[in-house]
Parts: sequence; structure tokens; C-alpha cells
Amino acid sequence: MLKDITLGQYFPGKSPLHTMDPRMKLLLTIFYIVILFFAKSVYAFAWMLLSTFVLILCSGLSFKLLIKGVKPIFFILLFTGVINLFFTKDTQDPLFSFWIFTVYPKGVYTAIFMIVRILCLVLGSSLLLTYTTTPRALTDAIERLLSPLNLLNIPVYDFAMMMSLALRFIPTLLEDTVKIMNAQKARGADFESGSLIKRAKALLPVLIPLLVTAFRRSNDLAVAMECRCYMGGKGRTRMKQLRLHASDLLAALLFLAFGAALFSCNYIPTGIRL
Amino acid sequence: MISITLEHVSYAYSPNTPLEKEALRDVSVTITGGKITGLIGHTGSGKSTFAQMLNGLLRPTSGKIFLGNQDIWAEPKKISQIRYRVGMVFQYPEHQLFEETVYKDIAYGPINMGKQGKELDFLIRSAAEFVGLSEELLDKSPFELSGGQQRRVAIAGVLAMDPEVLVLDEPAAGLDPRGRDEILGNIRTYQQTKSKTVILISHSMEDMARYSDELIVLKDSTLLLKGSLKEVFQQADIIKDAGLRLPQVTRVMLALKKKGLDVDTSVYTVEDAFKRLTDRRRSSC
Repeated sequence: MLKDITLGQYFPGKSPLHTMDPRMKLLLTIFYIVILFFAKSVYAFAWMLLSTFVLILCSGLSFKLLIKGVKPIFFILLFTGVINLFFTKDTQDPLFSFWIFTVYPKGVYTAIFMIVRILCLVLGSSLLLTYTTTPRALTDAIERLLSPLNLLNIPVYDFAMMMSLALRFIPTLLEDTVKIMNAQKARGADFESGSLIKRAKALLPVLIPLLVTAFRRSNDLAVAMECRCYMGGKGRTRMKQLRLHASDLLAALLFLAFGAALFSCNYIPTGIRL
Repeated sequence: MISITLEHVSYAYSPNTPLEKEALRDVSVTITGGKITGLIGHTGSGKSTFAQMLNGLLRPTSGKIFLGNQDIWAEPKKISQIRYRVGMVFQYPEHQLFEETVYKDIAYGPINMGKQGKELDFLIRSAAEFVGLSEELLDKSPFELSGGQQRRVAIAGVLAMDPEVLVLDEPAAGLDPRGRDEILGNIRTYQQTKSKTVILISHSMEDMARYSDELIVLKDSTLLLKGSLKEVFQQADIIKDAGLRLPQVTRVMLALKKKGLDVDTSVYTVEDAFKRLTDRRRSSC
């Protein structure tokens, strides 16, 4: 049960998206998300879909996997679609109406566009970041991008360290949880039946030892770090230096081109009014 | 004095996936009732998996496990009944303590079983006595105690359920030699006075030699040897092959014999060796 939780959903691979510099990926994701909101015409939306499709091909991940990843937002998509379909008002003639609902052509378009936009948003950002970047690389990227804040005396390095430690310990704590649950099960604990309150109460013998374990582990870690003369971030060098390559700049150029094309698509006249 | 029988038991983690990992392969063995059976094997040989199957925490992928004559998975919904009958003490059991007082923590298992009143109190106090916890400790918080005492509390928590079979996974790991001897000695006393069936997992051949009657040796997920101490320890080559060593003192005796001294090599504890050697000296004088 607990073993099935995948963390950060990173899928190993060697695609161009995997090997891109994480800093560049982070910036491009932000760029991509912002650009998506400028799409206004049918052509722009078609272009958006096409680009996301190309992105999928670049990642080398299987479609089956991506569909599984999109499943959790299915209801959000449905909800957004339905709301937009029924509650968009327009001056044009309605397509049809029943009871209190009236559906206008504009509503249909808006619903479709909204769904496409959210889909591209989720797919694009997860493809660029979570699916193809290890949590550690991501932390590194955030740290480097925020490093100007160091000048304002904000300890960015320390925050990044805490973040990577937290990520590092999730599997360990998961393992501890399974162990403690097994031990309490052996003493007759029942986590699977009974009312909600009863089940919540049954978790107490797991949560308390888990908390104690977490404190013990963090204490041990702190001592171990201190023993190796850890002094915080200032002046530390790193084992893996992040370097921008020509391919990263090429990727940036491609994304700029994508943005420019999307803007121009907005100016191609269409019969559909939004 | 109930025995446990495994019939062609196999277990694989995440079966039918690319991550499938076989932990036990076709193990058939009977654990004799009323004895201490030692379970030994190299790291990753399947010891812990073996232990967790005995009380139904893991369900064999194939094969059957019998507690006495009863198939433990005959009624999967009643597996908790089996867990009450086969007590399991995990590695570092002190990490599972959670109650405000030692008394309450020991009571957790028996209360889950539905015990109450005088019977409950009796179970708790006698379990605490067996592991050598004094009365005044019962009202303390388990988190105030030393590591060794916490270990005792955790073991008492399982003993208080009065299981017919007791499985202990490295009960003495991380304790100093004295704590080790005390805890294992307590388990031995408990087993003898109540004539329970005990399964003891340990890395230490010395502990095994001192405290167990029979041995099961696992290697690479399969059963390698099973028999009495003597039967198993005589097969020195096979034991070595499994990545294990005979008790230190047995190795000394073997070396003495190699040097030409006519000694009995079926000696597994230091006390025994001492006695044999002094007897020899006396008779030769």
C-alpha cells in the first residue's frame, strides 16, 4: 500500500528534456505557463496543442504513462468544462436551452479552450519539470535561481539544504512507517475496519513512534553533519556544477519562437468570436 | 507446545511486475514445538521474510503454513487470531513504544485481544517480571528509560499477549554484552518455564550456540540446513558456504585438533570448552 506512492514522479530517461539544465527547465516552464494564457484564437490553441505534443515526443515518455498522470485532474477538467458550457452568456442566438440552462456557441468554444489550456498546462509543466527532473536537481535549480536573495541576507542555501534533506528522508520515513505498522499489527492493531474515528484512533500507536523516530533521525543527522564540520552555506563549493550548454540556449530559443508564433496566431482572423 | 509447519512456501515481493524479487523459494520445514529454534542466514537470505510469514504479516505467494494442524490462511479474515497466537518481536522493538506509561504500553496488545480486569493486570505484571522490569518502572514514561530497558518493555508488550509461539528478530541487537545475556537469558527462562515454542533470529553464532536447541539455516532464499545444534554445526563446510561461521570456540577446538590435540570438536560454548579441556588435563595428569 505505502510502497505504491511514487515520489516526485520522476521517470528516468536520457531524452533531450532529461539532460537539459534544470535551471533552464525551471525558467522555461514559467515562460511556457505564462505564454499559454495569452492564447486567444483557435489557431493559437491549435498551435498550443501541437507544441505540447512535440514536447511529449521530445520527452520520450509513453502516452500511457502521461494519461495516467492526467487522470487525477480529470474531474477538474470536467467541472471547468461544464461550468463554462452552461454559464457563458452571449448576445448571439443560443444553440439550445432547457430548464434554467442556455448554451451559446461561445460557451462551447470557451469550454473546449479551457480544457485544452489546463491540459497543456499540466502536461507541459509536468513534462518539463516533475517527470524529467530529479527532485535533487530541482532543488539545485531553485537554489541557484534564488541565489541573488543571498545579498538580502536570506539564507537561500540553508533553505535548499532543508528541502533536499526533506526529500531525502521521505522514503526512509515511509519505510519506518511500514515497520511500525507491522509491529503494531503484530500486537493486534486493526487499521482497516471500524468507523472513521476508530480508524483515526488506531493510527495513534503509529504516529507517535513515527514522530519520535523522525526526531531521533534528525538529531543523529545533525550530529553527523556537525562532526564533519558542516558550517552552513557560505563559501561551500559543489560536487556537481551546473553549466549551461549550447543545447540549453537552443531550447530557450525554441521556446521564444513558440511564444512569438503563439502571439502571431492570435492575429490570424477567424470566424469564431471569443 | 505447538509446532509450525511450512509446506513448499515461496514468497516474492511485488509479484508479476518488473520489480519482482524472490525472498523465499520452496521452503518446507517443521519448527519443533517446545524448543528454541534459531534462524540464521546471511543478510538478505530471507530470514525476516520467513519470520513475518509465521504470524501472517506476509502471505505466501504459494505454499501453506500450518500452526499445529490449522492452515493459518484458511480464513484470511481471522488472521488477527493467528497474530495473537504467534507473537512477533521485531528488530529494534523499542521504536514502536508510544504510550504514556510502561504499564499502558505493555497493555496495548492484550487490550486489543479483549483482555480486561484482573486477567489483564496479571498478564502485564507477569510479562514485566519475565523481562526483568521492576514494579516502580511500570508507572514511568517509556521514553525516560534507557535503550536496554525500552527493549525489555517492548518485548514484554508481546509476552503479555501470552502467545503460544514467540518469534524474535534479533532481540539483542545493539545491546552491550551484559544486556544481551540478560535478555536472551530471560527468553530462555520464559521458554523453559512456560514450555513455549520460540523462534530466534540472530547473526551471532555464539548466541545461537548458547540459547537454541535447533537451527534452521537459510541461504539465497532457500532452506540450506535444519537440525539440532550438533547436526548443523558438524557441517562446517556448508555453513561456511552460506557465508556464516561456526562459533568462535568451535573454531578454536577445530584448530587444536588440526594441530594434533585429540579434542572433541562438538563444543559450542566457552563454558563447555573450558570444562572439556580442564577434564582432559585432569585425566591426563
